[in-house]
Amino acid sequence: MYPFAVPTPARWDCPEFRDHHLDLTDGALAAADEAAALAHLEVCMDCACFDVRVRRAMLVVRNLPPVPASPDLHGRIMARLKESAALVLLVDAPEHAGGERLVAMLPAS
Amino acid sequence: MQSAVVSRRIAPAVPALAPLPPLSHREQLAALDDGALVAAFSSGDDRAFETLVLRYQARLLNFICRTIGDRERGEDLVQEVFIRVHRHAHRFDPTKKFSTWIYTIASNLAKNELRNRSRNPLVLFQALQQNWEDEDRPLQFEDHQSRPDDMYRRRYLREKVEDAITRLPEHHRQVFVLRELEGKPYEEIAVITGCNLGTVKSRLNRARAAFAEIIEPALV
Repeated sequence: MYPFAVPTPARWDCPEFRDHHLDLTDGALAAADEAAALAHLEVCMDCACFDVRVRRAMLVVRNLPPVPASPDLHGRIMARLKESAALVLLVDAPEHAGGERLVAMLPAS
Repeated sequence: MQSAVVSRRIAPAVPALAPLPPLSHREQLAALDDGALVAAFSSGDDRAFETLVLRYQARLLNFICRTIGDRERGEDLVQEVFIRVHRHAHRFDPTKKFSTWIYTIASNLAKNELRNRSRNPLVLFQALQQNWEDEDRPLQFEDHQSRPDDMYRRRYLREKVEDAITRLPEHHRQVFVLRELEGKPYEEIAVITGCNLGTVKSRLNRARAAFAEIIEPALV
């Protein structure tokens, strides 16, 4: 017999466990809550499977390769920026902007 | 006194370092943070804006494509994001994070795209057709050093993951992509999506559970 009470983790049910699952996987639960979550995992097969399923899925999604860009994407962005800047100049100050020159710079559409 | 003599004796033994070549303008810009680049652009340095484009184009493409599920349209929207940033750079509040601002613009454009698409069945059809055409293309993005069955498996898994992401509800998907693929902190996601922190976490929790359930059969 211990002369003092050993703290036992609070008991969590499934909805409580799943509500806190994000914080559990982020390692953001307070120590007592984390103990309650882990204690629930010991006794609930459904939530243990859920935990593994989510962790495994996150591992896969975080390793997804980036979306490949078209080789000319940067060039197209810069061309559109130039075009858009020229149009803004024409609209804002056509009398100062040398309108004919700017129009000549624009690609024929 | 004696130590000064010693150090004078030792000093010539250390080879003098050749002076470093001066940094090019491009290198100087690349070393600046986003806020300094916006300030440089606002003072008339167009190269500063190009540095921002280089810094963000791939990240934004990733975010937008994963959100709307269409690469070609995603590239158009990335261009649109930069045009808006270029036009409204003077409105950027330098006390805030530039990445939050640009992602907010991207997020709004992606949301509009999804909204318009749901109203216009023709656009949806074109997006689906685009995906069919993608299927017919040769393997382009795999590691060609791998064995064919590994390549097939990777491609299969990538497609399943991408498909599972597009099957999440829109407001869950955005939060999911920002967190799990872009690695954004919750506070920044809250600003980008215009939700409070609790909503962001609750949506992410649901999105992760839903995603895990959808992808599960592909992982066994």
